[in-house]
Parts: sequence; structure tokens; C-alpha cells
Amino acid sequence: MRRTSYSGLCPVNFAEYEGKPVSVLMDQSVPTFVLRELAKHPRCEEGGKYLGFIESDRESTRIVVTDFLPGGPNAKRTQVEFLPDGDFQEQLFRQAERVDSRVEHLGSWHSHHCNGLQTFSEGDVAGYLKTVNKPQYRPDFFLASLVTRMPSTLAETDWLHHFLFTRGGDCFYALHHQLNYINSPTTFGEITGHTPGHRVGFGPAGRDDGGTSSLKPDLGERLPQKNASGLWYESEIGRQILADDRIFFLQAFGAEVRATRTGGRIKLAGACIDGSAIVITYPAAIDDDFVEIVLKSARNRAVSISCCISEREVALKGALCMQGLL
Amino acid sequence: MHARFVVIDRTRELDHHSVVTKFWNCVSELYVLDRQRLPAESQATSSTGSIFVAQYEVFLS
Repeated sequence: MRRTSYSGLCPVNFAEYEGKPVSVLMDQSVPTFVLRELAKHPRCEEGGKYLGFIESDRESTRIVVTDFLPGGPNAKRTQVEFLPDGDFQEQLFRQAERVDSRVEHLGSWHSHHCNGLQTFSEGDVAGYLKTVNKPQYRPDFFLASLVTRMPSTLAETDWLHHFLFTRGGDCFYALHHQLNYINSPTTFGEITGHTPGHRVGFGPAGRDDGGTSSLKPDLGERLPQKNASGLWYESEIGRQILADDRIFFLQAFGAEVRATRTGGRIKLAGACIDGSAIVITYPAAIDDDFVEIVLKSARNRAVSISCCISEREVALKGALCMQGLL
Repeated sequence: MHARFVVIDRTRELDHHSVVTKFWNCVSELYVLDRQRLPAESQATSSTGSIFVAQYEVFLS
């Protein structure tokens, strides 16, 4: 979400587009990859730059999106703003060009799932119009997608919305059923980190093909080839969470932090000055996403808090608040 | 979207009302601070059977 003085525009139905016929196609795995990126930063805006190909002849144009460049490690992410790591994306795009010189940057997606805004901001629209009209932007179209909420299952619809900006146009178009999901798997997975894994089918225009897969196993299979064991702590998301929480514990407890592993579960424990301790126990398997936090006093009184792993920071802070009660 | 926390007094020696109040106040405050908005709706329930369980649900949208 970017703020500018741009006056703002509402999208026009793509049925009213009067230019040369254009088809917008997207590989059916792309929404799954989007969800995986969102899972890394559930409380911040996230985004990526679409990769794919343009097939054009005298009569029509086909835009085929097969993948996207992730936001990057140095992207600026807040609850109301996403600014990609441009250097990182540029580097990946050059690698993609070496794999297939036909590759094009076809647009981008970003999310408002964390702030509830259901539309592009005025700054978003102004930015997309500016990009599609830049001489150095090669295609005549720019596909912009907006995630408005985090679905609880992949079968849900209306969380990923697509819009088309055209060079020279003074408006932009909402693609409702006009964006079709196809089977055109990415050839840039080694570069983008998007391994197809278990492909979850999406029907036309974001509608499911009858599948009702939960997000939980999907998020857990993010790196299936590297984590064949199925152990949570060996998954990429597990490693990231453990790294984040180690920092949290070090800030809260200083040197009094201990990590152990029992029965495939990692435990992180911090000791308080008053003799009480806080222990968080992480999931054992990648398809589990609950944690248990135990606050234990020096007098052996104990309270446990169970919650979804994404809410663990609130639970940890709640446990810290309750120290005096025990 | 909602967040759910299940709190259990394992040793059954605590003042349950204090636990409910303290944790709930803390969670409510954290959601306000972390997410810059008040929960649209909140709910806390507890049972006082053989083991104390309090379940907190924060509805975020």
C-alpha cells in the first residue's frame, strides 16, 4: 500500500476492454506459491513480481504467468506497506533470463490480508499505471493481483483478485472470470524457490476444482525434497520460526536460554530472575501447527497455554505477564 | 479469522479469576498494540471442573 496524491481509480470490467484481444493465463500452482510466501510473514504485507511469457500475433496476445520472484530478504514489510528487495529481484531475474531468454516481468502481486483493505491504494494504482507506461517496461500489459485475506483452505475463493493495466490506457480492468488457470508449470523453480510439490488444482478464475485441502499440510510441504523426514524443525518455516524465537528469548531472558530436543520436538526454555521458567514446545511434524507454552514457577505451579504457532508471540508475552501470579 | 488460546492451570492451585483477568487483559492489549486495532469481538470462557481451562478467542475481522 503506497500513499501518494494520486486521485485514485476504480477498476473497469474487463468485458469493456476494446483493444486487441488478450488472454490472461496463470499456472495453477501460482496461488499456492503465493500462500507459501504469505505464511512467512502473516502479519505484514507481502508481494512478488510475476514471471512468464507473452505470445503475440496479429490478432491476439496471450499472457502466461508461470511463477513470481519473491519479495526478497531485504524487502520492507509492515502491516501497511510492502517494498520489494529490488536488488534481490533483479539478480533473480537475470538468472531467469539465462534459463530462458523469453522470460518477461509481467506484473506483480501484493497482499492487504493483514490490514483489511479490500482494494488497491491510490498509490498502488498510480504506481502500476506508471510502470506499464515506462519505455523500459517491455510488455504492453501489467497484471496486478491483490490478496485481500488469508484463506483457511485452498478451496476458498475470492481472496486473490486480478487486474490488468494497459499501456496508454487511462483506466485498469478487473479480471473476474477472464483469468484462466492452466497447467503450465514454472521452469524457474530452482531460482524462485517455488517447487511444485503437491500441485493443488485451481479451476478457472480462482475457483477450486473440488479439492478441499487444508492449508496446514500445504504449508508444511514447502520444501518436500529437502525435508523428506517430515520433521517440523527441519522444515524451512520451522528453522525460520526457531531463529526468530531464539532472538525473542535472548531479548527476554538474556543468557538464560536453553534449547533441547525430545521425541522430535524442540523446546526452548528461558529462566526468569525470580526462579520461574517459560518453556515453548514446538510441533513435531510439519502438518501440525500448535505450540504449547508452559509457565512454571519456582514453587512448581504451572500454567500452560496452547495456541496456533502464528499466535505464539502473544501467548509468550501473556505468559511473561502472568509471572507474578504464580 | 480468529486466534484461540487455551489456558490450563496444571497444578490447580491458582486464583482462576486472576489468571483469566491477567491473561485476557494482556492478550487484548497485545492485539491492540501489535495490530493497531481492537478485536472486533472477543470472548473468554472458563470452566471450574476438576481442571481449570480457559479458552480465549479473539475475532480479528
